[in-house]
Amino acid sequence: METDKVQVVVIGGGATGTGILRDLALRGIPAVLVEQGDLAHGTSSRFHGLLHSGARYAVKDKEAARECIEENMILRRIAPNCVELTGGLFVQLPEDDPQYADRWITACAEAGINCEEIDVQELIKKNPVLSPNVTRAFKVPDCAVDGFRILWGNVNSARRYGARVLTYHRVSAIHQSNGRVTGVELINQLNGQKRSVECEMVINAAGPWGGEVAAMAGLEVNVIKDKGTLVAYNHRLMSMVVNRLRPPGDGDIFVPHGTITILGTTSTTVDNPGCTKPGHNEVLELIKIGQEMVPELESYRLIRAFAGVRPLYQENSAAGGRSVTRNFALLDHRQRDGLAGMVSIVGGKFTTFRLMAEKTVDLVASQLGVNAPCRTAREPLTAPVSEELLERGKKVFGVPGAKKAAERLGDSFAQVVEQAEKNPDKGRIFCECEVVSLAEIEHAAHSGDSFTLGDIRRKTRMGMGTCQGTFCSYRILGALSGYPQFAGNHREYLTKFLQKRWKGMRPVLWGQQLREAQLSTGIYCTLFAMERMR
Amino acid sequence: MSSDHRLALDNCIKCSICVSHCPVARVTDKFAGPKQNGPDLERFRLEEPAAVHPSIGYCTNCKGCDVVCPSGVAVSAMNCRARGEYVSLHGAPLRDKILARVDRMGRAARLAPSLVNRLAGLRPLRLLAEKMLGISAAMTMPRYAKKTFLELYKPKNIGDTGRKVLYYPGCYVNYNAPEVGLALAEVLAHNNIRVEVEQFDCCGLPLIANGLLDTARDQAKKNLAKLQGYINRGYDIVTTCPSCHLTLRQEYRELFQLNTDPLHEKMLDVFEYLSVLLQQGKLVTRFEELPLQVGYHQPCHLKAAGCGVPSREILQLIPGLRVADLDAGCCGLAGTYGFKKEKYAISQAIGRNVFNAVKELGVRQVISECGMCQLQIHHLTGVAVYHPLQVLAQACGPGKWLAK
Repeated sequence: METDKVQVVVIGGGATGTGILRDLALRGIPAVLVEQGDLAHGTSSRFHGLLHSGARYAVKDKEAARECIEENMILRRIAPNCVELTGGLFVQLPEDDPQYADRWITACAEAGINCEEIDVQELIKKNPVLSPNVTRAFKVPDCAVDGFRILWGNVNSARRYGARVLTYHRVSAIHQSNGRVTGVELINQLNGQKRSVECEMVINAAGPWGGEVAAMAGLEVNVIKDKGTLVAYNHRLMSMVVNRLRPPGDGDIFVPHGTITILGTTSTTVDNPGCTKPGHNEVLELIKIGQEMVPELESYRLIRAFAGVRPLYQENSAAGGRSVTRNFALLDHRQRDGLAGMVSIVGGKFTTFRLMAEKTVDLVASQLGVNAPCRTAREPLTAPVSEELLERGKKVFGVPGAKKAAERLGDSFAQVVEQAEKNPDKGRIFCECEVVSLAEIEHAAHSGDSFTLGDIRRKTRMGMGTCQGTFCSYRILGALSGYPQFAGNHREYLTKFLQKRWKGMRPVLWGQQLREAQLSTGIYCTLFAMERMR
Repeated sequence: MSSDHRLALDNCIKCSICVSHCPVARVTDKFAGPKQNGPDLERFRLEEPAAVHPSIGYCTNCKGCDVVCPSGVAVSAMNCRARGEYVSLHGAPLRDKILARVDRMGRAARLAPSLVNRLAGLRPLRLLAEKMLGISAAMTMPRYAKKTFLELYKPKNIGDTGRKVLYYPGCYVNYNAPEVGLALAEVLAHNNIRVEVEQFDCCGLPLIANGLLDTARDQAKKNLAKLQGYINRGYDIVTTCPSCHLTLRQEYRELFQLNTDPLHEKMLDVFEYLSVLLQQGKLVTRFEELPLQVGYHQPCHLKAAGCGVPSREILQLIPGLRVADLDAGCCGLAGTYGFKKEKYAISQAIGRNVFNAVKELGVRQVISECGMCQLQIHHLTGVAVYHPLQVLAQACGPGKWLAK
């Protein structure tokens, strides 16, 4: 069995875990991150993609609101390629309590969130899908944020400082001796091989799996697993994030996100942290509520539904759902349970991941006797892509292709452009819905972190557009058959990939998306005869 | 974006039938195709209006994509708007601005049409134009007529049938092929119907095809107001150019959101108009024998109008005439497209099918409704090409309608 040694092991490849890895690396603490699947396969990619201004929490939880607006401003600064400065709106409808608006305005002011009332007629002229019944509307600094890019930004930045990442490695045991954590045992999920890593500290940042990880060390951490379902519309319905101006509830946020619009969410407590199956009834419920803000919602095309599990945390509470705080908690298990060398970071939300990481690493660093201060709020995640390089990119990938690729790839964009310049065939767009070039796909396949088509999808957005992988998946597989991880059974690769795509399409199978699914079925089952293929 | 437009965008299921039928994508990789430039990038343009691919300049605007789309997506309108966006961002070359103004070129040529025709045939001058402006030296230029249709046309005194017909001739007939307009008058006179004419603006299609949408919109508004006036006074409007027809009826609505509903009832292709007369038993079907075999080429814009081939039914009434369908798809000229240096070869490659069909059928005359298709077919094959009206006029009386 392979044995490794490192100062800190971070468990969980979500926003918090990768944020922690980067923070550790910037403070010069050697660390390795272990993740049971691909980065961001869990909650960090299964949310609205909303970078909260904090306005949503202003009335109920001022502290959370203040944290949000501070982190919002930091992320805009350090990760401009991950944040889309859409701005956000809070709209009030006739059935909403008008007094709530007044309380909300005061609360926003107290939390330091800029909110400005705007002319409703102007707003509807600019965003004609909104209900003409809107009574008041306010602008807040909400933005859209790309979870995948943030995570990869964290990891790439951490790697530059020597940190390591092991994806598809599940923790199977946490070793301890004399009241101290001594290391972890891992199982490679792709080939079943075991390896162990000796360490001084383990940081449990496993999100909804946090309770299970703690249990391996014999600890009890009560993570409430709260499933939220969201839906993705085929195009941008509006230009800004739209929230409902009333106490937070289901289906009251629309986020325009690149080419699509996300509407969510629902809230149900579940037992299994991997329970990400969106339900048909939840989708119908979302549309019904969303229709109050966007009356013609039913006629717009949904491309898929998806669900994520929020890891909520409340010490000594069995409550669930919207009543549980969205705040995070940092558990020092030495103090709490008498086990040294282990901390858990639980609860919280995407917007404040960096702050959660900072607090966690502050604690860990003090226990390790490291004095280096946190630098994650000041140092940019990626260097901005130069205008000159972007222009070169536009020549090979076109305007939208280049812009999106530059945002996704950050520092690696130059390499991908060069590939396409050298070989024009590599500049060809393979995923036409999301405008992803072969050069970018090969770059992802080549990175060492891509073992499945799904891994490439998460890095590039290929297969995430209108056709949901119908046309790009077989095309891409054809181009990638020279890579060892894609040289095996193509039927298996395609089936795994498409089943995941269809999982999201199934709850929204009507109208044009039903036709899309029929076309997809026709191509794979009839034309490629995959049902009969061995 | 209008609600209709959003729904049209959502209708695309990416089946790519438009790409597989695109005549340009068939012969070159330079065009990213109607789907990518249309509904695909349209989703990006909602975030970033500048999301236009430079390859949009290679679209011929043949509208084959609209015809084949099984989902009712206005693919060509999305491509046209994208080109407009591209041109408004990056500007149009001087050549495109010149070629797009076929009306101005026609008016300028009025000063000395014979001289213009002679200059257009001078090789050194053409090479210079290719070098300086990018206008292909190899493509045959349309010849300007000595006198315009509006100058030549003298309304005849005909017994009143109570039918009021206004003719929208379009720039090509007016400046280059007045004989087509005169043939129309002859055919309608044969049926005791008097044709009225009027000075219109260019329909704007060459402007649209070159991405100059603002000017085209202004002309559209003027033309529509004028046509509306005639409709209000009880006129039927007839056209002989399928491209003008499609632009007035469809493009004005899809691209400029103008109300073209009145045109849908009252504006007809001349052969549609004659078919209506035939159905009512009012068409004069006394035709002279015409022992001819001709090939027929259906222009893309006639196909896109969705009215079939209205001339087929009428021409069948002429004794002795045999019409063989070339059935070879787009001719490739696409108005101003084939005159552009960098597109000439593509245009010729698309038209190869038409060349082959003419050779295979062994016809020495071809008929087609579109002036630009006529020019291209003549350029490709050397055979004589006429408007079907000229054949019909020949069968109506003793004139010399088929002499070039």
